[in-house]
Amino acid sequence: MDDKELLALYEARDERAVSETQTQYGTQGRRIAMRILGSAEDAEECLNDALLKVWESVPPKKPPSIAAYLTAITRNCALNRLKADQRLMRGGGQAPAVLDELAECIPAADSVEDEFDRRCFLALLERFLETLPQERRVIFVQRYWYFSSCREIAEACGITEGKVRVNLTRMRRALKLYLEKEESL
Amino acid sequence: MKSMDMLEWMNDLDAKYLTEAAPPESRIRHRRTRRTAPALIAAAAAVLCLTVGAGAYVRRNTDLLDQWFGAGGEASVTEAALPEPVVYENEHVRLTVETELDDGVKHIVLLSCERLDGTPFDDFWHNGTHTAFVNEAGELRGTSGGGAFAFGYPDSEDPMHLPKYLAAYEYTADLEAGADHLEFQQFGFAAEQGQENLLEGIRIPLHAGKNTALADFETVDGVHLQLSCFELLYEGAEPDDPFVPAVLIFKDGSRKTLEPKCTDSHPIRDENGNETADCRISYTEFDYVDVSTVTAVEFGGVLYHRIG
Repeated sequence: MDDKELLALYEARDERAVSETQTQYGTQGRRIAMRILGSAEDAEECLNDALLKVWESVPPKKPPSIAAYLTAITRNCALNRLKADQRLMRGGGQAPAVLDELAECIPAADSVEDEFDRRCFLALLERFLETLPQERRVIFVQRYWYFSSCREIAEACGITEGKVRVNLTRMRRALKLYLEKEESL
Repeated sequence: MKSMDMLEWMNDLDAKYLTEAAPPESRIRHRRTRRTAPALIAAAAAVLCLTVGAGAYVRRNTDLLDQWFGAGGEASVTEAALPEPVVYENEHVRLTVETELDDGVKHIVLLSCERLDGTPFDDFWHNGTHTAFVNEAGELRGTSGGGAFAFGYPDSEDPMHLPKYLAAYEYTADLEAGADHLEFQQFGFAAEQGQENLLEGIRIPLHAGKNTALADFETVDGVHLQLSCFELLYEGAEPDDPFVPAVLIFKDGSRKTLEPKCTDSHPIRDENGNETADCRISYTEFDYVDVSTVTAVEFGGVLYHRIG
């Protein structure tokens, strides 16, 4: 079933839309939530919450990609749960490592916290991603959006884990410089 | 802006990037969850070779302690009476409990680990890892933080491009943790790295006993805070931001910001099970501090003065 047919089910308020979405796209969302929370049970709950939110929001929303929409909502649920449960403990999935790595990208200026809002950051990040070759862009998004482990990225991209790590290191440094430079303009 | 903000804000990333980077289902390796049967555990335990004390003299890894405690090593933790190292082995690795600290609330253990066959670890990193390595000259050296890059890789241009013989890390355990705590903690990570058997059968009882002090701090309103050389404990109402940093103010006026990387929180109950405080939050994984030199702590915009 393609997205067009799925959207038609949602618009007709046909509950098969939920089960079809779960069957077709649930794996990705569940996997991300699992990586963030380190718990299969919690990941399943996040996915269920996300499926409900998709059901409640479509229509009126018509996401261009139901897979991306469901995955984004699941990811958000997992991050919220992570914060609420204060699960930043070692062994809790990929989240602690990803958070530590991203801390390297945060510009040093004190003023940044006040001036950076969500939209500004997103716009800058997307501009930064556009400057990257596709392979590196994919590595970045897989690590920091999908929470994939370096091993999984290496397997998916057909490169060594070492190369993944080196690329990530360089991109974090580059992103920090990019954000600082844009901030100073 | 914090790492968590970045992760959350990234959620609205344009779908084209997500589609482009979506990990292809067919290429993702599905790992079978490995459940070690009790009989296998018993068998592993039977072959486990323990050289616990028993006259075996184990030299303290001073380089590792220096790295752990900062310059000055053991001497910098003035109130600590550090237990001697203890070695455990199974058929895969030799694991040394270098030392342990216990402040009466939590227990922190510094471990080093090496493969018995001398081969380097494929990928033995962990968040917050303190890592030791042998350099080209055969000298033991340590590094810390950024665990993902702790070992370097053959094709890396990273400055930590070094052989990978020895891993070292610390972990924090609740005092009531059983001897299998390490195995439980580490197996999740080892499995993630495809090294499920690495620490099989190794049990490490926690035995330091309280050997480092907790200093008390209080606001003018009587809200309490405690600090040991490896842990900041907040007790009171649930803060809006559980990841708010704390600032230590030293006798000489200098300040040090603690970024809470590792927190856990739970309600405080008295012996009858009644809740006496909303939460107790433990912040660990900051550089070790000599608490005798700390006069105040700024936390959540409130100043806590030293008492007692």
